[in-house]
Amino acid sequence: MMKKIAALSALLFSLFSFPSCTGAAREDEARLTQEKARAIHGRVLWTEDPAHHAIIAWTATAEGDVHSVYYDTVSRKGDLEAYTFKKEAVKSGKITVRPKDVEEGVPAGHYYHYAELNGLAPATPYYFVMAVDDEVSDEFHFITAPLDDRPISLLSGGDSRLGGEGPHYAGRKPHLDRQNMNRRMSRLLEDNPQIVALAHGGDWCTTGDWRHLYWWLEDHELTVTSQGRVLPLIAARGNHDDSIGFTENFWLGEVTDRLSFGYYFVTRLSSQVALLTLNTEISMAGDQKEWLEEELQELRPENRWLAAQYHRPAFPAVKEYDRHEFARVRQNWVPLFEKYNLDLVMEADGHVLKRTLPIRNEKPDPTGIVYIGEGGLGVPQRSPDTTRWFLQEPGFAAGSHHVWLIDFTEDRIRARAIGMEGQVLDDHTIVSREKPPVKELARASR
Amino acid sequence: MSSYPKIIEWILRLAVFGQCAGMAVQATSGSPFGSMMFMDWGWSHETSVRIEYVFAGLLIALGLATLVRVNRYILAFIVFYTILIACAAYDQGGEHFSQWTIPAHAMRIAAPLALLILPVTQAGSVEGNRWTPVLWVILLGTASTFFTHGIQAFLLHPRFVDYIIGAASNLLDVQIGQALAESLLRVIGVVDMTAALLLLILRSPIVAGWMAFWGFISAAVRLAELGFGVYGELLIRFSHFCLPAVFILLILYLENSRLRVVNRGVFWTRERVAD
Repeated sequence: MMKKIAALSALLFSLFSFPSCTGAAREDEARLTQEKARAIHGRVLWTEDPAHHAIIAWTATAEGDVHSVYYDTVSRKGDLEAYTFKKEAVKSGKITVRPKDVEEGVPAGHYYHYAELNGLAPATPYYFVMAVDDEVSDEFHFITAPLDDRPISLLSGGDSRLGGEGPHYAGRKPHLDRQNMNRRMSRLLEDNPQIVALAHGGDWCTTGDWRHLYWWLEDHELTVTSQGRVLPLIAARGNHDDSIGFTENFWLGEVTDRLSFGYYFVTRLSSQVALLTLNTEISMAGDQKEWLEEELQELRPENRWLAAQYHRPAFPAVKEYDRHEFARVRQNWVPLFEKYNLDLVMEADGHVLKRTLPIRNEKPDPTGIVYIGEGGLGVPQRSPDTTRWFLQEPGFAAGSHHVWLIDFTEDRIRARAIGMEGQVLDDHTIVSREKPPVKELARASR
Repeated sequence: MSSYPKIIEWILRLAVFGQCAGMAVQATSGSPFGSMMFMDWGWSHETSVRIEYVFAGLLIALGLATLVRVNRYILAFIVFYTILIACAAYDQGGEHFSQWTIPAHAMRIAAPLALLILPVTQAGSVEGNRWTPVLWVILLGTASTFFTHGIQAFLLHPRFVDYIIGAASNLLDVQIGQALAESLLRVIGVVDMTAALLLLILRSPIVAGWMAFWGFISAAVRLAELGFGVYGELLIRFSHFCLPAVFILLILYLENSRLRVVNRGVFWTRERVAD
């Protein structure tokens, strides 16, 4: 009898609590709809031609009618009439919210928007505001990539996922470690104005669902400098970004292309520096591999420095070396990297700081390629296995939050791992190594 | 024919041993359970790794013990650990189609479970209706895994694409383009889903025979693509070919014994065959 009463009570409780959960979501959405829509989470995304093209993405807190970006090469302090240029959103939609997102209490009823800015001038600051109907955001600015051969710098990191005071996961906010790393990147950007972008190696959050992404986007605003300068993102995709959230918030592609089959590209950072963003979460042996070889064949003779970023490492500092995810990178891509003498590779996924010794043919080789990584933008850090051959001197590994500051100059690449407190955890220089002349490379590729 | 129950038992033992070895390899390389300890529970990385190594040693020992002698407590633990890994993988995500991990791992759960509930008598033969639970565990486990993988293949799971391209290149020195690999994958997906449904409906040894063959091929293709370094991926999938093989033997045994087994929908019952 008692068991039946208990079962009935449980049933009644669940029946009454379910409407209150969904009711809460509907109330939340209704409240947001009644509030005036405003633009938040503004961010700049770079893909292939950041000297002339940029994507501004943002979140609107309600549906609104007209969503636009106003921009100019001088600050207009938010006076919409004064901006020379205006672009309306080219891709918009309602952000997908799942029941678990509602349980976690993130706001529902938000919308994503993208505007494409074309015909930009290289190495030029662009001041912009995002407008939802007559509500205007604060003014921000970013600087386009140069087209000349000036020295530039790049921030590189991955795995911002989460992190804070214990417990690591159960309490998802505040994400103190991620917030602190974002503040560090903001300071780096202020102190090093030649930084052009942040190359993010993927695993933005634990999943791409809104309950995670909402907080990532909130925290990303901490990377804006005190002068309002925004850090453009060159986004790679990680294994935890397998959700509609990535395609809704970081990509101009089709949101229904959940696996993002076509997501890989080359970014021309300057006239002499190119960065390949590869995708370890799709086929590595198929179209992407063919594209990679074609691009490397074309890019190598034209660029002094050639780098690549992707998520799953070829030479992992923590996880098992022979795991299929990593073996696949070594089998399909590393031979091409070595054939075309890539100068630097940036990896993530491991939640650790690492820099390999130069590698060629899976052996130490002074003419080989250095791989750095492996994801320290906020996720709890692991301890590396420092006995691995590729982490021996002059290689390096440690378990520490970090972002890589990479300087590309005429005669060298300098890669520094900067810790959360601004300390330099590692400082490595790559000089031009002996490579076969370009003509010989072209013959070898046939 | 009277030795079939013993052969069935040994195949299941082999499946469980292989699976334990595969899970041990997985534990030493970082399993979803390890990620759960570190990321969810906030334990230190060192502690999580040590615990995983303890489990790896334990799994090897339990797998070997299963080869020596069937022990219900050991098998119950193996079932529990397999379910734990599947749940942890579902919870941690980070793989394509993580949300389908539990139905995808159904055969791995079914193998030790079937051995756990396997009826054994002194005479080595058993009344038909005592095999019913075993048959259902194998049937549902096999159909679930094949159907889930079939959907994943039809949706062009990127790893499956690379298996085809890599294996063709390494074994046959043939370069298959992604478009062709995807076309093949869609066919494979449809075949897998169809086989799962046919097995459930017809309970045919022929269908199970195909599944045993394909289960081995699809498990071994990982080595064909990436070499013997990924041997753990084959071990952990021993059930993918052992379970359909067990199903065939069980059906043949039950249908050919003097105690004829009649399939009456849910249950197999026994009727004495006329002399």
